[in-house]
Amino acid sequence: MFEVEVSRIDPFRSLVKALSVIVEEGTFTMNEAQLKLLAMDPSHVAMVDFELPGGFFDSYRCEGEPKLSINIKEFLRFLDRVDRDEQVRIVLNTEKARLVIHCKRGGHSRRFEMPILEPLDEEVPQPKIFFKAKARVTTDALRMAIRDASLVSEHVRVEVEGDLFKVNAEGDMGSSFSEWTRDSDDLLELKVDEDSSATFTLSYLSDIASAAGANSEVATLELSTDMPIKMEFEIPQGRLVYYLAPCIGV
Amino acid sequence: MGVKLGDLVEARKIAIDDLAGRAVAFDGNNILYQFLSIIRGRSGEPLRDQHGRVTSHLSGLIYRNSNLMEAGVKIVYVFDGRPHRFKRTVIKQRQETRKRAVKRYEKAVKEGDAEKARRYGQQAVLATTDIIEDAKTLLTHMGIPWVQAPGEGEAQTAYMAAKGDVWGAASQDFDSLLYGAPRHIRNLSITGRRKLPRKNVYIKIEPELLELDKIMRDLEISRDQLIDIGILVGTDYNPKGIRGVGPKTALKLVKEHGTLEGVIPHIKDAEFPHPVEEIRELFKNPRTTDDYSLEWSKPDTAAIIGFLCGEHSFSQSRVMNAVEKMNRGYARTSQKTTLDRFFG
Repeated sequence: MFEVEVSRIDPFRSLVKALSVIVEEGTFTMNEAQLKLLAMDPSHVAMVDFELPGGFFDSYRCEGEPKLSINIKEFLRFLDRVDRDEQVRIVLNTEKARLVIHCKRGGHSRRFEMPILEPLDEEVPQPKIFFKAKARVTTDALRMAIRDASLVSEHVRVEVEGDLFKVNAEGDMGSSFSEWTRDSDDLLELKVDEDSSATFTLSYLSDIASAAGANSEVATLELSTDMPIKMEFEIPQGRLVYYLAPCIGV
Repeated sequence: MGVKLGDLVEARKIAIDDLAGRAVAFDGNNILYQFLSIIRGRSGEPLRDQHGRVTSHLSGLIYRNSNLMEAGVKIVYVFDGRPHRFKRTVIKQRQETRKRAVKRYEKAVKEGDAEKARRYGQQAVLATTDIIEDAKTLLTHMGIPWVQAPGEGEAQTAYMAAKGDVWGAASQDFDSLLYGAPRHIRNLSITGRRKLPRKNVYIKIEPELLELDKIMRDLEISRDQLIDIGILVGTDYNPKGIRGVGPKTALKLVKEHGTLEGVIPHIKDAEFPHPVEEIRELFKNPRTTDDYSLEWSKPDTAAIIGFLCGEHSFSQSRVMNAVEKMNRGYARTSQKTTLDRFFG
């Protein structure tokens, strides 16, 4: 059995949104302490590694280690219908193969039911990468640089060079450059074993940065030249990490 | 209309995600017809813009394709060219059915009978030149390549699939299998829900895949024999087929006697409007073209908004939402490197 309650939907909804930008259908695995999701986007360009401890919820009850496969975007559509001041209880009904979302305010209750899916048996591995550079930055600064880049290109180059962290884009319409030195209040940490840079599809990065950034003030980016980027968004409880494959030859 | 093989062939349910990164050629006229007949208001009338022009097809093209594009499907549209002269009977039949339906539809609308209006409205559908030209314009703005077939669109999609330029051919009809498409996909152009005819009931529609090799293996027949079965049941070139011969009987007869020519002496009323070897030849060697290039370009937001919202009264926020999906899809399909190569 699996059942959680939240009195404020916003933080949870915002996390689900952060998953939905990558994952279409995903399988959560739950145990008595936490729920987890490790999943790739349909074209295997991005991956999310998500953990949320039971303590995040007002109440968390889980027996055994159930799996919950759902269409995350559909789930979000239901959560979007929940009002801020409604009490929410989410229950997995394994027998009916339904996920049930109960909303309650005073004497008024609503209920949504959505089908759960057959879990896919594919084990999602984690990329094995030895990162050569690391930058811990505010998500505001990161989002701003990404928005700048989207003015001019579909791709963005993330780079650590010496004492500089850079996010650049060049396109037919012009170019955009953002640079942070160690003096910047937005660059909280910079570690460089080797200068590193890689180019990414902007729409992925922008989806991730805005949806995950809504949950998080600070992100740690890890990088190696022409390798996937690892982005860990610091959230109050749990873990929200993304991997994004580079574009090579753009 | 096309060949009715539904009873013989077993389709495999697939998810749209299974097509991520794959090119699929749509039988454009067939899809437009689907959109025009399915996308309708509650009382059965097609969607229209402020000038009264039909926009059901544009609605289908933008919203349905944007979902497919977002999932990473690389869409190609193929439009019919000149129909073969053998198709005249079928075309005439359709025109007459349509004329009758138009009258009944108008009557039903006058009488306020929504169910009848819907039914006849669907039959009254006509893909006019304007509708097809609008569709081509919108596809171009969306960055979707389209191909003008010299003859049958399905023959061209099958040719492109057999050549390997696209992964599969998509249509509601089965004809592309007879034309030799290795993979045929149904239910891709319509949304997850579909109204049952004459009932106010909706059923869930999932895309399904038919593989030519598997069909031939399962039925233990050759492609020539599959074509012969089609001809016995009825094709666009001989719409009546043979009276009383359905797919199962046709399969049995063809397997028993080897070829259509072998079957004919054993059936009553074996009449065909054209020589059977010529009909067969139209499936084996249809008119196709190599004059196409499959290049997917970035959706042109301004042009899409101008065309749909400016000229055809679409809601800007809904269209923008679709454009964002297309852009995400375009970025996905244009990115070659995936995470898989970085796994352990």
